[in-house]
Formats: sequence, structure tokens, C-alpha cells
Amino acid sequence: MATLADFNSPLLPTWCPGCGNFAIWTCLKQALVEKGLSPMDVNLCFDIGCNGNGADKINAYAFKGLHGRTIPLASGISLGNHKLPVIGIGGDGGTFDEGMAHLIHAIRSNYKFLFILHNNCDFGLTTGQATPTTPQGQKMNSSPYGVVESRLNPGQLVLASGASFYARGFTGNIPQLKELIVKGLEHEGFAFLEVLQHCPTYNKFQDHLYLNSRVYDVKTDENHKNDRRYVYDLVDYSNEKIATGLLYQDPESTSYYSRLEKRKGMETTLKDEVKVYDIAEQVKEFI
Amino acid sequence: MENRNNRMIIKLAGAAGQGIKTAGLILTKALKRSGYKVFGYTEYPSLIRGGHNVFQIEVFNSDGAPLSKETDILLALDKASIALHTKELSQGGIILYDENTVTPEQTIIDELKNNEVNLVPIKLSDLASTAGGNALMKNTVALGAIWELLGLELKDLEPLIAETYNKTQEMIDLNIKCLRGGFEDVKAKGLVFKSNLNTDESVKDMMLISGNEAVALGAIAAGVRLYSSYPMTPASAILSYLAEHGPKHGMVVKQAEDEITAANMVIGAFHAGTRSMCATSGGGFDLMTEALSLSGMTETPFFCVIGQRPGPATGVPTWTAQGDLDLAIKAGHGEFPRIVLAPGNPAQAFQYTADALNLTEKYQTPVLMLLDKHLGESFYLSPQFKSESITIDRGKILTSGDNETKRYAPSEDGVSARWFPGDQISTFLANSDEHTTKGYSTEEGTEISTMMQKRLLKNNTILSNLPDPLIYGDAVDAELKLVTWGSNIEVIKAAIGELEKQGKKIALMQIIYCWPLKADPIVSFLNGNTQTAIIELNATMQLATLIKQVTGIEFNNKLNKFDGRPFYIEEIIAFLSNLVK
Repeated sequence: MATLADFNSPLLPTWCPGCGNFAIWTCLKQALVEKGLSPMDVNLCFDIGCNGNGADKINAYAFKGLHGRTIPLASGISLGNHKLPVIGIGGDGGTFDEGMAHLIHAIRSNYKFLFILHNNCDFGLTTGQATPTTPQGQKMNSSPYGVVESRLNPGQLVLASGASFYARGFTGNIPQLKELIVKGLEHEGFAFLEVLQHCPTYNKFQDHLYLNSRVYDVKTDENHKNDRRYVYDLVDYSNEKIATGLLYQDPESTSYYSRLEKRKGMETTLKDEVKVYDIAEQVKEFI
Repeated sequence: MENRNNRMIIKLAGAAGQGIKTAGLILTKALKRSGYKVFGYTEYPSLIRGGHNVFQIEVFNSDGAPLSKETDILLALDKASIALHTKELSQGGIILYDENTVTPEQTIIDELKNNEVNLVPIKLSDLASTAGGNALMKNTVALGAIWELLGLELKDLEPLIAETYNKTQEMIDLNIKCLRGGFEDVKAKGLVFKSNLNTDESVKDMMLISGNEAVALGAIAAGVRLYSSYPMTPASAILSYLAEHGPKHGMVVKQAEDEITAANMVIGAFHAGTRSMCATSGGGFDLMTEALSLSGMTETPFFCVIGQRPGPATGVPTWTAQGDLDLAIKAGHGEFPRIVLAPGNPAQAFQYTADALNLTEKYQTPVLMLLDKHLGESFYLSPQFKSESITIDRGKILTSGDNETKRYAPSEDGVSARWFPGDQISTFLANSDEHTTKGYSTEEGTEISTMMQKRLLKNNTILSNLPDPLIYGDAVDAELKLVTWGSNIEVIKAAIGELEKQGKKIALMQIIYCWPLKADPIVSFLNGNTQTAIIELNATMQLATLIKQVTGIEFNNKLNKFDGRPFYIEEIIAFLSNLVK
């Protein structure tokens, strides 16, 4: 059995003191250990940004791709070997700016992998510009007079797009976040896990204490319903309290791969199947 | 200048939606099954209904695949088809037209009479309804009419009608009746078109196949397990073919939301340890260029087919060009090795698809294969493809190792051994940042230089291992040495065949591997005082410029055009005849 130490990289994190990434990093390792996975049993996919700067701070098979392209890269990996646990990791900038189309289509396709959204509501690595989740009116680097655009709501976006799994964690609740990662890894389809986190350097509007004073776990709420429309309203920005936990999961979810008619009953993965195929039947049709 | 007894051209023309392509394919294939050498070429606008569609069938005795400006038999399903093609008709040619719906203008009738072209009215619509069919079945009636005109036997055409309209027995019966209606009508009129074309038993067993279909078959045979693409003319047919036939072999075929996704999925799939590829046209490839660079940096294989079409931006979607050679060679930021190749016919497209997959895995760097609309969507005779001709070479793959095994370890040829996530060997990071041998990010100067040199070293390895260009004919006593690339090759072969009959000696070089470009074989081919010429289908002579860059050699003569049309044999013969007097 792998231990937390097995996932340690010789390199130390370069994030700012107080960054929410430390918590996500820790929870990810804890969840992998809990699932009995070793560093060589998984593939992590990182975006570009502060999350991506963690790509070599954890020991595992990994691919750090291009900005906003984590999702198609992870989709290709998970189809290439559908037995391999794949985790995509991206920030609010890359996911909702350049990567927006990929996100919505991954939800439609329901590829089987977990996507962890680092939502700190700003671009950290490029020094504090606004992202789609920065509040309208907020002054940021490159938005000195306030953000003009309205604020995008990740939960509402993915629910409206038909997400089969939507969970929200908070970097101040380690046990819950670890559990959500485990649940996401077990989901039969595209698991979208939004992590609310603080950016101590550039996010002056939604710090750790702000989040900590508003979050609650829906496990503690008897009235919570596993219902897409209910959760859509629940995560609206107008609500003062911030619901966290496994907010919505489609129990009937089927992954893209499992929906493929001609793959049904096949035991091997695409990785195992690279060989010469006999095309004699196809050739006949051209004669 | 040439003996047109060697060639007969049949052109089917009508409005989009009138079944021109279906009829054209039936006729081409039926002629092939009767032992005639054939080539099928389509022209169509970028729309679904209305507009003018053409299917041109060349029946010939020569080598290669000629494409002619002239037409001997024109089937005109609408009025526009007569006016548009009047000037192409050869002396003694025949125009069959639908008497029920088309009344030719008097001026055109006069013009045709002067050129000794025969206008033959046939009641295609009436014959279709007499047979119990509808107006759409006019094309089948016309096929019967043309078949009798050629003096061929119905038993050689009827099976193809049955294979094509095979949804219900009723459909088959109706179409056969229509076919016989057209056949008998021309028989009663006593019309015959005489040609001196030979038949050849060996042709009957050949395939009639397009370049796109050949790529798709190459992909299946060579073990592509994930095909991911976004539709774009003229490469969409690869996606359609694989979507239908790939899954029969367990292939996963994904119609992606855009080309960026397609390219990143391909890279992801290769990283996971399988084989993958995509195809697009120039505009879609533009979207893939950051992924191309990612493949180069992370040394993850990537293979894309680019079906070229004319012009910048949307250009002219359903026509042909060779304007994206520079794009393929130069696309992508940063500096990294790559291979660019260009097959010239379906047999090559099949074989080089498999070779390209080997190359991208062996050298762990992107491979791009250029097709164009003419090769991708025209129908060529080809010897039957055999899976036995395919070998799979995945390069250096480790099956064991320990923690100290480094994914980007330096090596003499620049290629490091690879393995795949899940393998119990050693973790690594495929990193779009510059990285160490383990894949960890680095900004240290010597490490940056070392890794760049390591990757670029593969260029030398590739260059010394790539096959030489193909040479047709004898360069030693040639009066002219000609160089070309891509789909031009087949029409040029046909043209040279005609000129050889007049005793002209022309040696032809086909550049298949365009990048990296091997200088030595080109230098030795062009060596001497013989006239040299280059032919390519673009405005800026991209291959000629490249050859000059690599060898210093400038060609004495150049032929190019950029009007969306492929080269016609008449143009090639005129150009070459001027050079070899």
C-alpha cells in the first residue's frame, strides 16, 4: 500500500504562504492513499497557472499541458486507457476562459475522470488579473476601474450543461475535500469538483475568513435534495451561506466509454490493442 | 499533339441533389469491373442543394491518372450543364440531355453543330416514370443510356445498381427497370460512341478508392485506436469512413468539439500508450498549432493529416491546392523537430499513413501528412491494400525499470525510451514547461540548452533515416528532369506516358518527405546540364523555394497555378512539350 510519503516530490511547493493550493495538494495525496493507489497507478493532468506549478511537486505520472487544454488532454488519456484513474486539475481562468468549450463538451461526453477546479477567483501566476469568477465591479490588475463583465457561477454553469457530478469543497475543510476527491474518483462519468480557495496575494475580496464564515456541509442539511434544479438555486451567489459537499450526482450516470456500442464486452484497453488489423473485409467494398 | 485514342472522357453534370456523384461512382466502378482503366474526379460547390455538380470519368490506356479539360460524352441533367460545358466537348462528342426538362438555346445548338458535337435528347424523366420511378431516378436511366452508347453489356452494370440501391428489393427492382429503360432507348436510336480503349483483366481486381478512404484504411490497419477530429472539407470523409468502419475493429472515433480538442486528445491518447490520429484542413490545422508545439516539447507522438484546399481563411472549401506546405513545415511556436510528408495517390496514402504512425512513435515528435482535395476526394485505381504490407514499429518502449529511469534521458540519437502511465516503471511528468530528464520544470540555462539540443538532435537522426524521393524514368539520359509533389504525380505520369510515345525522355522525381528535406538525392538527380522543371499547385512555389533553401538549386522552368483546379493533362503536356522539343 502506498503512503503519503510515496507521493512526495523532491521539490518543495513555490506557492505563496497561505495559498489554498497547499490544502488541495494534501487532500489529493490523502485521497489517492485512501483509494489504495500508488504514484504509478494514476495520471494527473495539470493546466498552466499556480495549480500547474504544482505539477512537479507531487510524485505521480502526470502531464502538464497547455493553458485551458487540460480537459481534452485528460479525455484522450482516459480513453486511451479507460482503466487508468485520471485527474484533471485547472484554475478558474484556464477552465472558464480558454477552456470553456472543452468543459461543456466534456460534461456532454461524460468522460470518466475527475476534474478539480482551483477556484480562487483570479489569475495568480500572471499577477492578479480578473477571471470569469471575479465579482463584477472588483478592481484587479488590468481592471483598474472594476471588472466590467458579470460574474460566472461555476456550479450553475455545469449543472445547466448537464453535469452528472457536481461537488464543492473548501480548502479550510480538509476531511471533506479529501472525501469529495474520493467520491469524484469513484463517479461513473465526468466528476466536476469545485474547490473554493483563497489567493492571499491577489484576492482581497474573498479571503479565507470570508469563506470560512459562510460555508456549511450539505450533509448537515436535512432538506438538501439531490436535484439539479434545487442545487442550481442553492449555489446562487445571492445566497449568503455557501453550500459545500457532494451537491449533485446522477445515480444513473454512464460514461462516454461505456456508451460505445462496439466496445461493449471488450476487456482490453485501447493501450493494449496496438497491432496490425485485417482490413480484407473493407477492401472488398472497393472492388 | 497527343493521341486521344488513348483516352475517353465522360462527364455527368447536373444540379446538387440530382445524384451526380452516386451515378458517377456506379459508372466508374462498372467500367473498372469491365476491365477498363478509370479515374473519377468530382467538382461540387460548398452547398447541399442547387449549384453545379460534376463527376468526370477518365477511361484510359496510359499509366497514372489523367484528368482532361476535354469531354467526349456529356450527360446534362439540367439546362445549365449544357451551357457550362459546351466548349469542352471534343469533335464527334455527344451530349445526352433530359428532353423533358431541358431545352438547349439555339445559339448553343449552332455552336455545337459547328464543332460536330451531337446533341442527343432523351426523355429521361418520362422513362423514369414509365419504369415506375421518380424524377430522382433520372440518373439511373441515364446510366443505362450511356452504357448502351459505349456498347457494353447490362449484365456488367446491373450488379452495381443492386449493390448501391440495396435498401429494399423494391428499390433495386425500380432502379434496374430505369436502367433498362435508358439502355433500350439508346439501342432503339442506334447510337454508338466508338473508342479504341483496351481492357485489361488485372484491372477488374483492383480497388477504386479515394485518398481519404485510403488514409482511413491505413489508420485501421496500422492500429489507430482513437481517431478524434472535427469535420472540415476536404478531410471530413476520413472521419465519416472511420466512424462507420473503425468501430468494427474496436476503434473509438470521436467527433470533437473543435480541432484544439482533437489535437489534444490525440496527444493524450499517445501519452496513455495507444495509437491515435486526426485530420483536418489548413484552417483547422491553424487551431492545432499550439498542440503541435506541445507534442514537440513533451516528445509525445502526434499525427495529423492536412487535406489542403485553396486560399487563406475559408478560401474555396471544395476545390484543391497545395498551398499549405510552408504551414506544415513552420507551424508551431518554439523550435522542435517534425516530419512532413505528402503521398501522391491512394496506394501511397495507405502505406504512408502507417509509416507516419511508426515515425511519430519512433521519434516522439509530430508527423504531418499533406493531402489535397484532388487526392482526397478523387477515385483512383489501386492494387488491393494488404494488411500484410503494414509493420508496426513503436520505437524505444521500456517494459521494466526502476526509480532512476528517466523519461527524457539523453541518448546518442536524441530519442529517449518511453513508457506509459500505469506501467510499474518510474513516474515522469510530460511537461509543456522546459524540463529536466524527469520532466520537472527548469529555468536553468544549461538545462534549457541541453534539452533543446537533445530534441533537435532527432532532426539529424530523422534525416539520415528517411527514404529518398521516388524517381520515375531514367535520369541518366533524360532530356528533362522534372520535380513535383503530392497529387500532381499521377497526371504528370500520364502526360509523360503520352510524350514517351513521341520518343521524349523525361525523368520525374516525387518528393514525398518534404521535411526534413534530404538534399543529396535532389542534388544528384538534378546534377548536369539537362533542363530542369518543377510543377506545383500554389502561387508562391513553396517546394521550389524549399529546395533552393536546402540545396541552393534553382529550377530552369516552373509550372504552377492556383485557381482551385488540379492540373489537367493538356496543361502538363503543353508545358513539357515546350521543354523537350
